[in-house]
Amino acid sequence: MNPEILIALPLLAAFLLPAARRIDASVGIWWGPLVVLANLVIAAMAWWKVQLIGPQSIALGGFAAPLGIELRADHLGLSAAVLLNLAVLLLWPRETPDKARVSTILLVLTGAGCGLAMSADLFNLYVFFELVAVATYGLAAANGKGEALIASLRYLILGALGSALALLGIALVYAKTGTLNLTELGGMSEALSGPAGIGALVLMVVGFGVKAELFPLNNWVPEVYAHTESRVSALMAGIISKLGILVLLRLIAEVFGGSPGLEFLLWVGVLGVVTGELAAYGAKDMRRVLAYSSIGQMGLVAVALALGGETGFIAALILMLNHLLVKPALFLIADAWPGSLKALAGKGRARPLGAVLFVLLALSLIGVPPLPGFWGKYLLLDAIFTNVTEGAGLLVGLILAATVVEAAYFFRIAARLFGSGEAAEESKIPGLPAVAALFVIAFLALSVQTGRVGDYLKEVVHGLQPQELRMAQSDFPDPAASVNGKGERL
Amino acid sequence: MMVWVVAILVSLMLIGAFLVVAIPDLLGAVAASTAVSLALSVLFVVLRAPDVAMAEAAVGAGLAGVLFALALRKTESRRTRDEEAS
Amino acid sequence: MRQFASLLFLFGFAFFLSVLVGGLPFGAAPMQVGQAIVEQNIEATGAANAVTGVLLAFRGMDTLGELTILFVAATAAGMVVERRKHGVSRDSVAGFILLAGAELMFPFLLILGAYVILHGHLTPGGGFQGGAILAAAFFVPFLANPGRAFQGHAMAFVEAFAGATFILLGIFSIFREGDFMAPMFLGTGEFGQLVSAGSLPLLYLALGLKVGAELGSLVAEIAAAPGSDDPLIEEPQAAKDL
Repeated sequence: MNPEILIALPLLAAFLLPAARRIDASVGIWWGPLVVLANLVIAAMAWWKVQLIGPQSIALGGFAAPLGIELRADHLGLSAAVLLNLAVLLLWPRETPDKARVSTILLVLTGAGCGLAMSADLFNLYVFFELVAVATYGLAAANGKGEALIASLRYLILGALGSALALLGIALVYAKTGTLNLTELGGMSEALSGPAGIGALVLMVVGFGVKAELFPLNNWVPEVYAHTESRVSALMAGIISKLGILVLLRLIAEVFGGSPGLEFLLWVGVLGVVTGELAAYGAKDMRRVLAYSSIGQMGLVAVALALGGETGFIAALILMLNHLLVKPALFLIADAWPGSLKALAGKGRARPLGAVLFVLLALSLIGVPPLPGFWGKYLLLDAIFTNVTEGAGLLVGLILAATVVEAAYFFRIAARLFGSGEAAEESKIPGLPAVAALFVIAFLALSVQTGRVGDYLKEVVHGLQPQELRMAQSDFPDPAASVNGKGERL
Repeated sequence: MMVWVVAILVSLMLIGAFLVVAIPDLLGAVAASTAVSLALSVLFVVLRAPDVAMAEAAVGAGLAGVLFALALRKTESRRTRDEEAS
Repeated sequence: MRQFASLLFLFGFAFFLSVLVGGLPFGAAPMQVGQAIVEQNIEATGAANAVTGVLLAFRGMDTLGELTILFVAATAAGMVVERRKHGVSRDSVAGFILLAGAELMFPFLLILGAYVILHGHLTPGGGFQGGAILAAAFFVPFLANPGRAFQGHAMAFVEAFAGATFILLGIFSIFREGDFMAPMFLGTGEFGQLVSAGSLPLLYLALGLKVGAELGSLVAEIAAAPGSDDPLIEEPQAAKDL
C-alpha cells in the first residue's frame, strides 16, 4: 500500500462528505471516524513496513526530486502519522452544532497532518502546514460559542501572519539555493550560512512556531484552549502543536544543523519556558493553567531542538511524546473541575482516582523521576552541558527556575484538590473519562518501557540524518539528469 | 522603457496600499485594495507571467473585493448606514 | 504611541528584509530546478503551458493541497456564518440596468470560464482562474438580485463530484503507473492539441468545477446570512440536519 493513500483517503472522504450528508444526514456522524479508523490501519501497516524494510523515499507522481515532490516514509513521519490518526479518532469533538462540517474539517486535518509528517519538500511542507492551520482555525470555532469565535479569529490573524513569514523564509531559501528539496538543501549548507539563510531560518521558526506555541506569536493559546471543548483543546495541545515542531525538526536535522540562526530558536524556547510557566503560575482557572503550561513545555522542546545533536533531538522527542500523552489526559480529567482554581477545594476527595492520576501526570510534566518527563529534562540538561560552551549556567538556571515555578503551581492545585472544603456535588462528568483512561494507560506503558522507547527514538533520529538516502539518490548527481526517474516510460 | 512601466505600476501599488490604511471609510479601503491587486496583475503581465496575472485579477481584484464588501454589508449596522446617507 | 510603536516595528522589519534580500544574487537566481523543468516539460508532460505542467504534474500534490485549503476555508466559513438561528437578509434588489447587465453577462462569463479551464494546458489560465470566472458567472446575478433562489444542492454535488474526480484520477494512476498522481497514463498526445498532455485537461476540468462551485456557494452563503441587525428567527427543527 502506497503511503500517499494516507493523504488521499481522508481528503477524498472530506470532499465527498458535504454531498453525502445531503442524501442522508446521519452520514455526518459516522463517516469521519470510520475513515480515520481506516486511515489509522493503513498508517499502522505502513509503519510496520518501515520497521521491516527501512525508510523509503517516494517520488510523487513519478517525478523524481528535485523537480517533483519527495515524500519520506520514514520512522519519524509514519510514527507521527499513526499517533495523529489515533489522537484524532480518540479526541473526536462531541459538543458541536454542526457535526458534518466538523467531520469534514477533521478529515482534512488528518490527511494534511499525514502529508506534513512525510513531506520532504519545503514548499509542500508549507502547503500542508497551511492546510493544517486553516483546519485548526475552523476547529477552534467549532462549538459555535461567541468567545470561541473571537479566540479563533485572534488565532487566525496570528496564524496568517506566521504563515506569511514562513513563506517569506521559504522564498529566501529558494532564491538562495534554487531548490526546495530537503535532501538536496542538506548538501548546500554553506550557501545557507550567510545572512539570507539565517534570516530564512528565523522567519520559518517564527512562522511555524505559531502552531507550535513558540514564543513571539503564541498569545492565542490561552484564549483558544479556554473556550473550546476540552477534546479540541486536548487535540490541539497534544498533537497539532507537535506538527509545527515536526517541520522544524526535519528542517534543523537535515538542512540547518549548526546554523547560527539556531541561537534564535534557543532563546525563543527559553523565553517560552520562562513566560509560559510564570503565566501558568498567575493563571486563575484550570484551562488557562494547562494552556500556559503547554507553552512552557513546547519551549523546552524548542530548546532541545536548537541544541541539536543526537541527545538534543532525543530529548525533544521524549518531551514531545510525554506532553502528547499527558496534556490531553489532563485536559480531559480537568473537565470535571471547570471555573476558578479557588473552587477546587476538596473536590479531589469526591473523585480520588481522577485527582491522583492528575497529580501523577503533572509530576511527569514537572520531571520527577522515574517518569518520562524526567528523562526528557535530564537529556535536555545533558545536551546543554555538552553543546553549549558559553552561558550554559544561565540556561540551566533559567530552566530549573521555571521547573520550580511549574512544581509550585501544580502542587498548589494538588493541595487544593486534597485540602479541606465542602463535599462537591456530583456532576455528570465522571472523574476519569474513558478516553483519558486510554491516554493514562499509554502514559504508564511509556513510563515502564522508557528504555525501549528511547532506543526506538534513537533509531528515529538516525533515520533523520539523510546520508543513506543521499547515497541512494547519488545515481542522479545533477538535477538535469534526475528529471524523471522513469523517463523511458514517457 | 520597461523600468519605467514597472516603476509606475509599483508606485500605483504603493499609493493604493497607503490608501488602504489611510481611508477611514472601510468600503473605500476595500476598493483601494482591489486597485492594488489590479496594478499587481498588470505588473505580472509586464513581467511575462500571464497565469499568475489572471489568478491575481480574478481572485485579488474580483473575488476578494466582493467577499470584503459583502462582509462589510453584513456587519455594519443599519443605523450607521442611515447616518452616512443623511 | 501605539501607532508610533507599529511604525517602528514596520521600519525594523523593512530593514531586516532589506538586509536579507541584499544578500541575494539579483536577476540571476540559481534556478536550476526552474531551468530543468522548462527544458524537460514538453517531453515529460506534453503541456504547451509549462506552468500547467508544474502545477498539475511536477507538483500536483501542492495543487491538491491548495485546492483543499480553499475547500476547508469555505467549510469553516460556512460553519461560522450559518449559525443555529436563521435570519432574513433584507438586501434589496439592484436597479434595472445592473439587473439586466448581470443576466446578460451570465452566458459570456460561463463560456469564458469554460474556455480558460479547458485550454489551461495550452494557454495561460487554468482551473483556479477559470473556476473564479465560473463562480463570478453565478454570483453576479445573485448579488444583483439577492432574493433569487440559489442552487446550493446542485452546487454541493458538482463540488463533491469534481473534487473526488481529482483524487480518483490520482489513485487510478497507482494502478496504471504505480505512482500516486502520475498524470501521464493517457499518453502525452499531439503537442498543442486540445486533447493532449495526458490527464492534465481532465484534472484542470475537475479543479475548475470544484473551485467554481466552492467560491460560488461561499459567496451565496455569505450573501444569504443575516446582517448584524436583521431580525433573527428560530430555525425549524427539520432544517437543522441539512
